[in-house]
Amino acid sequence: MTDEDLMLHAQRGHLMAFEVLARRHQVKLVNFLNKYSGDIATAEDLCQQTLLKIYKVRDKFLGHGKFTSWMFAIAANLAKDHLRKVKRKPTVSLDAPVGDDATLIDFFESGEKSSSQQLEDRETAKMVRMAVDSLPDHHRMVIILSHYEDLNYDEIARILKCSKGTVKSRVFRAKARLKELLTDYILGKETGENNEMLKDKKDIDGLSG
Amino acid sequence: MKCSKIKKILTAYLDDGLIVHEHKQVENHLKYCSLCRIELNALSKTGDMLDTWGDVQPSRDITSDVMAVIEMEQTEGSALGRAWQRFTTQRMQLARVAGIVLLFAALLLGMKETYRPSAGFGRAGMDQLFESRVPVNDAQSDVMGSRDSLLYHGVKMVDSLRRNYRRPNDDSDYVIHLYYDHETKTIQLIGYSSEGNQIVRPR
Repeated sequence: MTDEDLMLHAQRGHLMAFEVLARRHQVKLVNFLNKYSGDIATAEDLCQQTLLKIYKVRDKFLGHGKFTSWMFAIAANLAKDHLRKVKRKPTVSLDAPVGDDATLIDFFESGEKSSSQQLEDRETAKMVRMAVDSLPDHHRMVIILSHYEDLNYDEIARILKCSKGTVKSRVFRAKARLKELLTDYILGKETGENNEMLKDKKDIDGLSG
Repeated sequence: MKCSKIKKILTAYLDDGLIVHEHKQVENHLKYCSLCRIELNALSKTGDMLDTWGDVQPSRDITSDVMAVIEMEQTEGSALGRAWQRFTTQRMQLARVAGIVLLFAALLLGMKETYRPSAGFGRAGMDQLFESRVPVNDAQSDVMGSRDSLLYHGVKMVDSLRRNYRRPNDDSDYVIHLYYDHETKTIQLIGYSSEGNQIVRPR
């Protein structure tokens, strides 16, 4: 049964249909909110608030678009309100210590590798998390929706109530910033090609600058 | 198209967010521009890196908590829900207990259908309600326990009765009789009574 069918049943008062729907999307919602808020406990609370709100305003879902777009719009608004209330600052500054006395910038530049692949992946994930976290709220939101939730620009524009052009521009800026933050780390990992690629990158930066 | 313009739409190119004409322009440009190809490669690698930040599992079953809140709000918000709570807690009157005992005794003895809907209770609707079986899945049973499952579905059925069949200005308390079938794991309404009405149907 599709999400939209379940929603229709929920609108007719079938609580179980709503329960199926909520269970189907709770993990997706928590991950979206975790990436946006940067805190799993906050994400779980916001997920609960989102599901309750969806139930309360279920009659407002008219079935014209996808249920998930409507769901993400509600979740995004609640998350934005929450961050506004707590006046969220980026959880991790690029200059803040990551471990020992090294800063994130040092970490990117050092290109240090862990002995095991698993540890390396964890470190990379940590870098990514910090880089995404350092983005402005509206850039972080579009990256999460486009990259992690795999939504197209039209859907994101509907969710954020802005134009497709605005979405395209925000994604471009956010990705450019992430590339900037993560490129040295990527290059540091690629032995052999490092010097050549760094040179290419500098050439590009020089041309574009 | 110049490199500076191409660079601005490379992200959308990777995300498949360009119109056909633009997409073609970028493809043609990349064929002869090695610098933009390197830029595309770097963006693509950035995307790969983003993938390393995987999903997490919630530490609790959020849906169960949400359903409990909804159920509580519905129970608190419904006069019948309050009546049901009173019935199941402090005010369990002897007459009601006796009524249930008699009802089950009658069912066990194979009593024929007693069906006396008063004016305002559609027989077809009641039939539908009696025929319905509410499945209780294992996870739900584990979380709620069989007694709570019965209570949960009981409140839902009382609400359904109230919404669909209750006469205007009828404030009488309702007692409903549910049967939980362990084999099929379903709950079925087998009888229901209110002041002046008794509707019983054998299984």
